[in-house]
Amino acid sequence: MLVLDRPVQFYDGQSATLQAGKLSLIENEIQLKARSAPYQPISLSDVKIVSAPGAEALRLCLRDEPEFQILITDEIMLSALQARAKEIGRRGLLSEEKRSDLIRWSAVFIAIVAVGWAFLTVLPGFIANLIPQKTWENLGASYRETLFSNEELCESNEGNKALEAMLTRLVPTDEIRSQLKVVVADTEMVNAFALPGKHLVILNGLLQSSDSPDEVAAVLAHEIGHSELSHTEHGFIRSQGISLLINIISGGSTVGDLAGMGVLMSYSRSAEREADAYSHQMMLNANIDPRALATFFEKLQKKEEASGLEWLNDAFSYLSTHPDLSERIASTPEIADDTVFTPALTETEWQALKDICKASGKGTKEKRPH
Amino acid sequence: MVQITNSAELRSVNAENSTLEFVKPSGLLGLSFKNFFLTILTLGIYSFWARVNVRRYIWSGIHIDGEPLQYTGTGGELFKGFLVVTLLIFIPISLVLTVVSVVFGPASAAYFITLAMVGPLMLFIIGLAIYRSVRYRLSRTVWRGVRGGLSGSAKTYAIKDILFWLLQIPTLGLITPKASVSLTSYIGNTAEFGDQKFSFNASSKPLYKRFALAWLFAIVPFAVLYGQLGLIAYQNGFDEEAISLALENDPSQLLSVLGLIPFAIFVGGIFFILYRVKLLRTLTEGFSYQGVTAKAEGIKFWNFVWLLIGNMMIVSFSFGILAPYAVRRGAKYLCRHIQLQGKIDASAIAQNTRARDTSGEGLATSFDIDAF
Repeated sequence: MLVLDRPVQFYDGQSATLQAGKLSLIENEIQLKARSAPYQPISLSDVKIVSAPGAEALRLCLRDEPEFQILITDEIMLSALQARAKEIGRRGLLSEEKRSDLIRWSAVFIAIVAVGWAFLTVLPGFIANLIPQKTWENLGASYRETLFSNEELCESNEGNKALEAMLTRLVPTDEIRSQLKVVVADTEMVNAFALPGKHLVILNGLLQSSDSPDEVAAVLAHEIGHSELSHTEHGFIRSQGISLLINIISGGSTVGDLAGMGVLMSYSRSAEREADAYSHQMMLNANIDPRALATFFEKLQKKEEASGLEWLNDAFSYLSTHPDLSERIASTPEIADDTVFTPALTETEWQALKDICKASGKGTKEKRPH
Repeated sequence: MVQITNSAELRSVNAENSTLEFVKPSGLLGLSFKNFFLTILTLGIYSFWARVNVRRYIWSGIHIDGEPLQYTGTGGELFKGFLVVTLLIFIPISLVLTVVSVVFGPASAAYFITLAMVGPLMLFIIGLAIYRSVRYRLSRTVWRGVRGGLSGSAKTYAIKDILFWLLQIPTLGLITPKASVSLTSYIGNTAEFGDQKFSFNASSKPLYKRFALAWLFAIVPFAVLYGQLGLIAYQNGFDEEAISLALENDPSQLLSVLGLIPFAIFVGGIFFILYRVKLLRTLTEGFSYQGVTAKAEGIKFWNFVWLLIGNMMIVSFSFGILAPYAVRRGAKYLCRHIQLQGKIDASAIAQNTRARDTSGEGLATSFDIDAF
């Protein structure tokens, strides 16, 4: 391909003055000639188009120096360039931007996503183990304080004794039991949860809606399972990681407010299954009927099926953090009919535990008049 | 792709004044859909390239004295800037906050102190980002083979920005017009095109009538509301129970005030748009380059409202796909309503030397925060 000395105009990248010159196309190179200065031949792969589609002149610029621009209106040169572009193919010639750029940055992006994925799956357990137990305890304590003030915690002599009795049944080993910090909080919500550092919170709503101490024991054992299996700590790190990622994606304008919520919401299904199995085993070891967990779930499910605002309230408590009830009820171990279990508490103890909030002068919270 | 027309006819050029016009390039619909689908397919990573596509299109439509602008930035540069900012600023800040909240607890004094320090730091970074993005874009804007630049310091701008933010509190927001003019003035007086400087000269005084009206309609209803609440509280001896009882028995004493709020927002909103129109006009007319100034009397309330409403409808009805059309409407609007006074002498302009040494690398040139 050879087109010689066609008239063009150009900006030399040094001034805003439009200059006249002559352009030749020799194979894959263009050669600009002008009176003002000599120019080296330029490979077609080093130029790109900067004019808009439909513009009066085809405007080529150097990739490295976009201010150096050649304006071509000469028809012979235009058709020669077009033919050359077709011959070589669009890639690398006259294209707007090098495709390799997009590919390279896509690779960087995929690497970032991969690191983020590791952050959420593999790293939480690893990081959680690096943090000393004392830090977890402080963290759990401060979360508990954020959620419930000391005034909202229920205490009574008889109630505390009953709670201790239940814990002793479930966790006979003193060393393990002494690490657990269990409190009852005066809230109508039907729930119990574990916080980092082996802090456990039973909500009064759970005590009130349980028909037997075994149901409370089963739920408590489930939460102890989360605690002993470090689900809470892993979940915390994971939720911190998620809020970090959200911050990065959203541009970092908001600080991870969701992190606190994440502590309560971030158990995976497999973690729930593990905690269920833990509860069943713990109950069997303590000779308490492990089916109480399922009984409690069934009751919740019935409530879920009932209509009205009650349902909404429950949806935001136990069910939302513990999905797939039917499957979990089905996972209850088979128990021979003639098995004899001992209730988790005596009738007197159970009554004392149920009344723990009433005894500490709180009872069910009064609703504020509006 | 290589679309070439051969009409070499020159646009008629006004001998006295330079011209500014928007000549619609073709291909915006295809560009919009390409941007939309590639952005989705690449989980958002293409958005940087998409933004460049839109800018390239818009810039190439803006003709000064018959010569189009070119946008020479690349998606890679924007993405690199995004990564650098993320790695050097946002991740460290988030990590510090996370570590402090884990070690000291989310309700601890240490966490709140850290948060309180991060706030001004973010304001400073936003100030830096605004100035740097203007600098970056000017250095990627080419007209007649010459690019622009900014000669000032981003730190100076960011500090001015923080000071105006701090003044917002004691002035109850009344500093806003002054802040807008003063911050634009710093950009305007440090802006360059080629080797020649822009200058900027405008006063915020004429803006205050409209801003004060908008401000009054925003403030007064709430002042009355709180005054009324205070009065009721006083009448009931500041007793919580008695106050809520009094409001329950006679809600009308608050409802009459509450009813005024939508009305006040509507009227205040109109005054605010009137203020924005005047602000746009004032800022535009404040610039001069080679003694050439701009007249923007065509920017009026109704055509500005129509621009806003039209753009909102375009973006929302197309689920954002046609957002580039809204950008184009904005560019067309400005080109139609801004008249240049005086003639640009292109033969006197040489290349800008400043931007060259900072081109395309890292945080300094690539920190780019706006949508387009």
